[in-house]
Parts: sequence; structure tokens; C-alpha cells
Amino acid sequence: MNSCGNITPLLNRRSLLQGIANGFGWLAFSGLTGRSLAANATGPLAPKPTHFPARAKRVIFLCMTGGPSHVDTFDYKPKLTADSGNAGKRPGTKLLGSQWKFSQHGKSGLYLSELFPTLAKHADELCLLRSMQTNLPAHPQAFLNLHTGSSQFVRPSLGAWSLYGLGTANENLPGFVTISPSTSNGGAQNYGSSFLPAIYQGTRIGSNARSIANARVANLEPSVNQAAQRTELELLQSLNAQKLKKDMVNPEVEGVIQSYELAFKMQSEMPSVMDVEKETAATKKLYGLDNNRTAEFGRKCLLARRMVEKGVRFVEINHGNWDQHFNLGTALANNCNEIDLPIAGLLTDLQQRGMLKDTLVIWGGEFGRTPHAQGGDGRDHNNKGFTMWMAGGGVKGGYSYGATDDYGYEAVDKPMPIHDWHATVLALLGLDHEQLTFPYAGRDFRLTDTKGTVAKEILA
Amino acid sequence: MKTILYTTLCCLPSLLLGAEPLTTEQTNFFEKKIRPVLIDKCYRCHGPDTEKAKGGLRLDTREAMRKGGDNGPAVVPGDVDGSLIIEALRYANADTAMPPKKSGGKLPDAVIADFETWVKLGAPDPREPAVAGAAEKPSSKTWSDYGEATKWWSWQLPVSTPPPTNKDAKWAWGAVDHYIAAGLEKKELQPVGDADAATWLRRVYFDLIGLPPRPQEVVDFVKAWAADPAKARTEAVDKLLATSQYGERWARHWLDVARYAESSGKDVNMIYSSAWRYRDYVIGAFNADKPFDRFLAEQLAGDLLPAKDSKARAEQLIATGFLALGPKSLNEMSPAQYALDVADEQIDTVSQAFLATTIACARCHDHKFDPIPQREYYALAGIFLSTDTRYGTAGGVQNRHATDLIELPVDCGLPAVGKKFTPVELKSKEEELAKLKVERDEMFRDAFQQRRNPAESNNAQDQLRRLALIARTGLLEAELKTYDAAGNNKLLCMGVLDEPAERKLGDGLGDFVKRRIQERISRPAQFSQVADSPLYIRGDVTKPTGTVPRGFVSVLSKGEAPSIKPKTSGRLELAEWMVSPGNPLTARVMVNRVWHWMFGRGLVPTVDNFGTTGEPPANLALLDHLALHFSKDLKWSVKALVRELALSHTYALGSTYDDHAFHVDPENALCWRVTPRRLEAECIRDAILTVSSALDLRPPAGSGAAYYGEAQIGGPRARVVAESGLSNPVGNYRSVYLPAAREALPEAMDVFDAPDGNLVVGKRESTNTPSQALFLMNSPFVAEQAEKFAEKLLTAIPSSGPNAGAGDKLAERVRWAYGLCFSRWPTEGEIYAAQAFFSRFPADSINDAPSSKLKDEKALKAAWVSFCRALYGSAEFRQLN
Repeated sequence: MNSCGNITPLLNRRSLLQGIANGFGWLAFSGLTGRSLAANATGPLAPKPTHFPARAKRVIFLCMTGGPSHVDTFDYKPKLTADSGNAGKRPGTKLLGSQWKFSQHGKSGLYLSELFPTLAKHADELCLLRSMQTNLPAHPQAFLNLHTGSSQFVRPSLGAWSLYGLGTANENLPGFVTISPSTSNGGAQNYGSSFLPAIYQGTRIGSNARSIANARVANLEPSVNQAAQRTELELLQSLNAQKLKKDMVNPEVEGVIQSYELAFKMQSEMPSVMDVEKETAATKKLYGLDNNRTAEFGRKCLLARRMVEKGVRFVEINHGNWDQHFNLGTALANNCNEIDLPIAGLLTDLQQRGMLKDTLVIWGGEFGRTPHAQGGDGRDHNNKGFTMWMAGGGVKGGYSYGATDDYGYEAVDKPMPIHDWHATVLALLGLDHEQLTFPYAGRDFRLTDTKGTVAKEILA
Repeated sequence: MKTILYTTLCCLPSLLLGAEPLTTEQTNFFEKKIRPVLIDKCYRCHGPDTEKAKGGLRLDTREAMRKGGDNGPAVVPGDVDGSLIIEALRYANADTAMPPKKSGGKLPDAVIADFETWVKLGAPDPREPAVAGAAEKPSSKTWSDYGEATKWWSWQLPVSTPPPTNKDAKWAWGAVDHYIAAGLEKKELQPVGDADAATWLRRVYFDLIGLPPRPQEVVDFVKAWAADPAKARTEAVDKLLATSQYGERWARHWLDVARYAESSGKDVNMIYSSAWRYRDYVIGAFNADKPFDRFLAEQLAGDLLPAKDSKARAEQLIATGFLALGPKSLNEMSPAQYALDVADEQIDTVSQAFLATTIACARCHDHKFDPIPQREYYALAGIFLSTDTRYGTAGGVQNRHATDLIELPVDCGLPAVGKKFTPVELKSKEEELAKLKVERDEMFRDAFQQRRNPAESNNAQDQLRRLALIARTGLLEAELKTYDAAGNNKLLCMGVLDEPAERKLGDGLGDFVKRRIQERISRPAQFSQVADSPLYIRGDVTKPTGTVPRGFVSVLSKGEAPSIKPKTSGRLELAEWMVSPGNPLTARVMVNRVWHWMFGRGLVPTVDNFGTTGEPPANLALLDHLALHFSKDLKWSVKALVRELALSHTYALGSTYDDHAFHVDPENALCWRVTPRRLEAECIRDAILTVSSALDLRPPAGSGAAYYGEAQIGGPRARVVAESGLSNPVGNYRSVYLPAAREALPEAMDVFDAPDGNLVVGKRESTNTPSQALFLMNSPFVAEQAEKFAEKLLTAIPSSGPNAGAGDKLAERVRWAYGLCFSRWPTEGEIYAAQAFFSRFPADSINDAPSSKLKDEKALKAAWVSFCRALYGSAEFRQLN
């Protein structure tokens, strides 16, 4: 591969103006330079000041697709166990106590299920959000709501908003990466940018159907040397700039321009970031890469750490399927087995590198599951109460926020709807969800629409 | 709920402007400062969801607010002190102070000041008087009153209205334009000017045949347009509709809807080796302009329709592949669960594809949003459970649900593909299979008996041997089924047949082992004959209750539904019901799809969901006009519909940006211009190949996926197909013919958002990502085509002499290149830009040796390759204006 050592921005003001001088001198570029280029001199991805001091600089969101059962994992419900078999809230149903034991962990004494023996060692880092709520008990709607705050309209995703608000810390990598995302439940909308500029959309690596070990970012190897490629791309970008000028407003063309900018830079940095093999044997073991059961998710977690370490702002990892309508006993245990050690490894690793304090790690799915049984060994969707958790990045560790009723049906103490959760994530990043707006269709849109309350209590 | 209502209102600009003409600033003030507060703080007690508004006061419409409640008008425009709402907000009077303490108490002074300013300004309020239907109706609530729930717009029959007259009587060229113009007038919007001839031609080429026009065609067309634009357009459209490329382009649209793919996806991902016959059927149907009602009927019940000859019979059988192509969990342990899942996938696809209705949501409970009772889901499930779905695949360790394929009439004239066997080969394979079967059955016998004596069983080596044996037997079985006695490939297709009216008696399977195998993998007896389905409580296969007679969905039956003939599945009647005049959706859904494919946005933007969780149409009168026109006047001819849209004035508009119009209607729901769009993956690849002259327009026989036969993709054992063979296929034929295995799409498709065949996709994603940029910059495919493109330029316009330098013939070549890529000539500035490019391009583009001049032919060619690649990569290449 050719050396791509000293990377300077491809479309910086100077080179573009040079391009104009060489070819497009006749164009009145003032309009363009006034708007896009001035912005480009700092770049749409350049770091931006936060609204207030940030507690976290970056996010790793471990997204559990399908709706993990809260009452079997992080929401301890002794009364559900005691009353197992009694009539449930919905007519004709029977309560199903968890078949897994809960016990207290760490100095904080948080109750955690035996499904997470390794993660439990990090109990004092965890901030359990036990009063989560979402709009609808249906996967596509709830999944979109979790990611975009809306299931009815196409809206920018949480990652896109975060990147828009903060910019990236490394302009040679995408600022928002989504690892093996689900292709259903709204697909690319869940990491899309909607009306935000296209550069803020998530870059997908792999898909939920394939092993991450085979996922790579294709076509990183340039086919010509750097001097030739630069000349080629300067021509290309000047064509694009000219089209943008002609079209006046065309976000798609802006998206193309920015995609080349980033692609050019990714050539130099992406291959090394993706190369997990560079890690020591000890680190690989920490993430469970030495074990078939945990290797897949472990590799994703390790990849996420490598990315945030290099300045990627928002990394989402998808894990599924948690939709245990039946076969709860085996399937849920398998899922937890796959992720328990890797997540613990991720937290340990971040801690060792001094990054946990300003990296926000989030775990959760689109909703929880009913305390009553479905069939003999399953649970149905439950949107009125479920658990997510956060760790690191300025949240209180060993802490439990809010609560569901005795059985886990519904959040009764400090309910936290998705808009509040979004507001809180943004607040941890130093962003005021009411100020983080984007003008579109005659009004200023926010991730939280007209809602959103920051759960101040969980801030460390 | 209120959030949803709010966003619905705000995002439908059609609802924003009331009778009072407001300035943008006034509207903005209201939207930013006033409405959010009203929604957040007031609507709960004084809003639309309130059974009885407090104090008789509602604040959710302009009229209600001004009329006021028991105490008088809440707002008197211009009179701050006379407006009760201000008094209430100021907390001036303890009895009327608002919002109450429990809702957070007195608002911040700044907010109160906003309200005062607003009243002073005359209380400009863009809210329309409450309109019946769409936006005002709380849309995401479980329906409790069925009658009320059925009032949603899409469940009503289309209503015919005469084309409206327009202020500008000359603008409209046809009926469609009259409706569009009326919609624009209502919002006081002007359509932008028309596109120029070359832009229009490029647009119609891509939209109708998915390929760019050749430069000479552009030149000729511009000339013809200058002489007589209407004639030029008509001739161009008619010419394109008559090409076979039209069918290839439009079939791909339908294949998206039909979630077409050539493998089972999900857990095991076995290749569907004859899926391509369905692909070819769809291409043929669009080219022959098969009426859509017939097209629908053949896909749902082609096997049950009479056929005039073997060819028609074969086509109709292949058409039912629509029902068989879905993704399947071939590893499902429970045969009964599997049967229900297959039927469910069929219901989901059929209902979304033809009705844009999510009937499958009613599998476990009544549909939460649309008035579809769970009972009616099982009425449909009975139809599909009485259907025998044939998709082939090789049975094996992981695939527990292999089926036979359907044999086509031998004299149907369709090609057979695949390798032939000599009689010797065939015989040896048959013998091997016979031997393996004996071995396998013995092994099963051992296994089942050892189960009683576990101590002896299950050492690892034994297990491996067993797995290999099962896999090999399954493969051979599947393979041999595709050959006739002479060793020729049988003519086979995927598709469906009715289950027998009565279950056949077993073929004497008295044997214990055979019974055990049968129990584990066979379709359960209750689904092996035509029968009604039980209603499964919460969709649970272990909880059947009373059966539901086979039938259709009531909310979509505005006329008499056909009654299902006894001893048949009912698919034929299902098709009849769908295309009957009493079904409010089928025609609407299809015309809306066609509109979406022509304009990039449906009149109903949620093209696969016309239910209450979808978005209502911006122009219902136009949608209904088109639906009735399509099903009656045009006799369901898709070509005629496409032709009408392509020849409309609306379609001929430019894509120019307009600040005012964008502000009022940013989504272009009302069609004040043609929205610039990114081309689909197929168009981008096909255009690259067209420009380099590498495109092979001859349709290949079969498919690159079928080439692998009945095999598993990326699996652990037996015959395994590497994904790379599917994702980097060879052959420069049109993209619609590329292998389309689930989870292994060709890179050029995958990277540009081609759907993966897992769901009905009426509307594709359209992203612009770094991975696309990398593909265009660095992929071997694009490099190869750029080289061919460059060679073409250098050959067509040869240099004046050896070492003539980069400037030689530059302008001519650039001109030609622009014509090929963009259907226009370069501007002078663009020629300069090209000159600058060649003057700066390094002499050595491969190694890092410094140099400044392009001396030899090799260096010159390298520069042209880079130039061509830059054109391929440009935004203009992938965009349609």
C-alpha cells in the first residue's frame, strides 16, 4: 500500500480555492465559500464546544435487540418469585418468577442476577435505570423510538445528534460507527441522519447476520499512489462543489462531498483500527476472544474500544436476539453467556486505560418483558417498565434509579421515558437537549421533540 | 399521544396554513413559542383527547381558542388585557390561574411575555379548523371501538372527483396536473419552471429503463424537442416502454416488494436454485404489460387458474413463487411452529405488498392500531395453511424442512439450466444414494434405540460420521430430484399448490424409524389438507382454540366478499377479493407505488403502510383519481399508467430549488418540483457499465446463485458456497440478473442500499456514505470500468501523433466523456478544470516517483483512467435531476 502518511484535508479552503483558480475561476464562489466552505474550514466534524462541561466524551451503546427480560437480569423482584404461578395482571396470565437467583454485589450491594457473574464484579460501576418506559410494545416502533425518539417519522438517530452536537475527535475516522446493526426494525433509520447533514449518519461495519470476524471496511487500499489520488479527488470534489453551487440547496451533494473527504482519510487510519489482532493475548482473553461462546461479542467490544480510543464519538454494538417469547430458560441464558464476560472485559479495559471516567457505556434494548409467562417458558413484550444501565462517563456507580412495581410491570418510581433517557445521555455529553436543535421545515427540531427531562440524580 | 399529534401537524405543511394568510415569521413565532407550550401545558385538559374539556374550553384549534369556554374568549387578538389566557398565565386571579400547580405551576416570565407578544401581534395562529380524519385523529391508540376505528381514510372506498379547474388554466397538460396544481394553489405555491430537454430525457431514461441515454440520443432528442416538445416526449416515452429494458427496470421495483432473493436467509441460508424463474417471470410480465389484477392473481393463485397451454401453465406456476420465496428458519425444531411461521410470512408479504396493511401484526392479538381482529388473521392463515409451499433446498443436518420443487410441463418451452449427467454418472449417483439411505436408516435405528441405552452412544467421532452421512444423503437426494431418467435437468420452479382436499393415507410407514423421522421433519397432518385454521391464543402453537372459517379482512370488504369453494385453499378467492371494486386499497396501493417509483416519493409516503401508523396522503383526490382510473379506464395497465405520469407536466418540472416553496413544503409532498434523487444501486452499476461499453444486455439463462445448486451459503458442512462467489460475481449483465442471495448481496448492490430481501421494501434507503466513496475510489470493479472508459475515449478520439501530450484532443475527449456520463456537454469552465487536472496529474501514478509531465502514452492513459473514475464518482453521476 502506498504511504498515506501526512494527511491534510482534501477539501480544505486553500486547495479548493486553488482548484477554483485552476479551473473554476469564472464561478462566483462567494455564496458557497460563505456557507459550506467557511463551515468546512473548521469542518462539519470539527470538535464543537459543549453547552456545559461534559461528563463523558464518547459513548459505547450495547444495544440488545429484541427486548431483554428485565425481571431476569437487572430488576430484582422477590415478590414475583414468591407469587410465581398466581394470576398475572393481564387476564388469563400467570406470573412467572425468575428461574435465576439474584444476589447483592459490590460495596453498593446492587442486586444482580446470576446470569451476569462476571459483570457483577463491576456492580459498583453500574447505574441501573430500573424505570425505563417506551411508547409501544412492538419491535419496529420501540426500536426506532429508542434510536430516534420517534417511531412515526424518520428522524435523526441518537448517534447522529451526538456527533452533530460534539463533532469528532478524529477526522480520519467516522464519528459514529454502528457495528453489525439489525437490518430490520427500521434498519438504517436507526443510525441515519434524516434531516441532519448526511455526514452525521452512522457508518455500518458488518451486519447482524454475519460474523464480525469477517467484517471489514472494504476498498481501503488505494489503486493509485497518493499524488495521483489527490489529483483525482480534487477534480472530483470540484465537480461536486460546482454541482452544489448550481443546485443551491442539495444535502445529498453535500453528503457526497463529505463522504469522499472522510473516505480519503479513512484509508490511512481505518485498517489499523480494525486490526484487532494487534492486541495482546491478555487483552484478547479479557474480552473472551479465546472462547467460541464469547468471541463474537468480545470482538465487537474490543473493536469498539479501539475506535473510541482513536476518537470515534459514538459506537453502537448490536446484539440479538432477545425476543424470548418461548424458550426463555435456554435462550436468555445463552445470550447472557455471550455478553457477560466481554462487557466486563470492556469495563475493565476502559478502566485500566483511564478511559472509563469519560466514556459512557450504555446497555439495553427497546423494551423489557412481561412478569407473566407466555406459554410455559417465555415472556411477552413489556413497554411500561424495563431496565437499562449506564456505566462510566459521569454517572453514579453502584446506583439504582427509579423502580417498577412489585412484579416489574410498570415503572412507578421516577419513570424514565425514552425522551428523558435521550435528554440524560445528551446531558452527560455536555449537551442541552433543548438547545441542540436543527432548523427544518420551518421549526427547530430536537431529539427530544417537546419533551425530555434530565435525570439529574444519576449524574456523579 | 400529544407529541405524535403535534409532530403530525407540524410535518404536514398542508395543514399549516389556515384561512388567515400568515407570514413565515408569524408562523414560526407560533410554532416555536406558542404551540409547544400549549401542547405541553394545556392540551391535557383543554385538548383533543379530552372527553370533556375543562371549563368548556379547548385550546387545540384557533376557532375554539377564540370562542373560548364558560368564562368567555381565551384570546382576543390584539387585546392583551382582554385575553383570558393572559390573565390565567399571569396568575393574576387565584381561581383562573393556569397551568395548575400539579402541572408545574406558573410558567417562566419569558414564556408569559411570549404569549403577550403573540396576542399583541394579533394572535397569528396557523392551525386549521379541525379536519375530519388523518392528523386530528389520535393515531397510536389500541382501538377499542371497532366502528370508530374503521373510519380511517384508507379503509374507505376511493371517491371520484372531477379534475379541479386551476387558476392558471394553461399549466395542466392532463388530469394528473390539474390535481397537482389545485394542491399547490391551496398553499399558494408556484411550480418551478420546466426541466430542459436533456435533463428530462436523462430522467425518463433512468426512470423507465434504468439506463442513461447515449450522447447521440440526447442530441437527436434536443433537436426533436425544439421542433415539437410534446411529440418528442411522447415518442421518447413510447420508444422506451417498448424496449425489453423497461421490464428489467420495473421488475426490479416489484422484486423489492416481493422480497425476492435466491436463498432462505436466516439461520441456515440455503440457496433457492430456481428462484430466478420468478425473476424472469416478473420481467416478462412488465414487458408484456400483464394487467396488474391478472399479475396479482397469478402470483397468489396461478396454480389454480385455468391455463390455455403449457407455456401459460408454466408461467402461472412460476408466478406463485412469490409465495415461496420468503426467508425461512429452516432449522426450526417444531414442524407445527414452522408451518405457522411460513404462513405468517406469506400473510405479512401479501398484505403489505398488495394492501400496504400490516395484517401479520394480528397474529398474537387484535391489531393494536388498525381494526383487524386476531380472528381475521386466522381466517387468512387457514388459506395459507391449506397451501403446500415448495421451495426445494437440500435437507441435512441443519435444514429440517426441505421440500420438493414443482415440475413444469416438459413442453413449456422454458430453458433448463445446469450440468447434465451421463447415464453412467446418474446411475452411480443413484446407487450411492440407495446405499447411503440404507446406512442412514440403520444409523437412525441405532440412534433411536441407543437412546434407551445412552451409555453406548454419542462419542464425538460417531456423531461427526452421522452428521456427514445425513448431509451427504440430503444433498444427493435434492440433487437427483432435479434430473430426469435420461440425466437431463428437469424443468422445476418454486411455488405453491393446494394441499389435498383430504389427507392422503400414509404410504405404509409402519416402520418405527421411518415414523420417528417423519414426526420430526414432516409437515404436521393437520396442515396437510385443506382446512380452516384454529385461532392460536397469543399466537402460541401449543394453544389452539376453535377454528375460524377461511375468509378475508372485514375492514377492507366494502362489497360482497367471494365465498371460498369447498376443498380449495381459497387463494383464488383471495385474489378475486383483492382486485374487486369493493376493496379500497389494492389499486390505491399500486398507483402509489408507481408514483413513488416515478417521483421518488409516494403520494402516501409510507408506501408499505396505509394503516393508522402510516402517513396520510398529501393529495387524496389525486390518489383516488389515479386508483379509479387505473383499475377502470386503464384496465390495470401499468405501462399506461407509467406513460401518463411520464407525460405529465408535473413530471416535466425542473428540480430547481425554491426558497419559499421549500419552506412551506420541504418534503415536496405537493410536487412543486421534481425532487433530485440518488439513483438506485442497479442504475449506478448499469450506468457505469454502459459508459464503459461493457454492459451485456443479453439476459443470462439462470443465475449466478443457481449455478451453485442446492447448497448452503457460508455454513459449516456439506457443499458450502463461499459468500465471495455471490458478493463479487462475474459477468457484466444488467444488475437485475446478479445473484441475489440473502446476506450475500453483490458489493455494488449492498453498498448502495439494495434491499436484502428480508422484508417488503416499497421504498429504498438512500444514503451517501464513505463506504460508497471507497467503493468508487478503490474497488477493482470501478478501476476496471474506468480503464475501459478511458480506452474508449482514447480509441474513439485518437491522438494526433505519438507523444502529442495531454493537451492534445483533450477538449473533444472531455466533451464525449461528459456526454456519456451526464447527458450534457461540459461548460468551458469544466474544460479548464480538466486541463488543470491533466497538467497536475503525476507522470507516475503507481509508484511514488516525483515527476511533473505526462510524457508517454502509458502515463497519459493512467491520467485518463483517473479522470474517468472521478466522473463515475461525482455526485452528478449518481443523481437524477
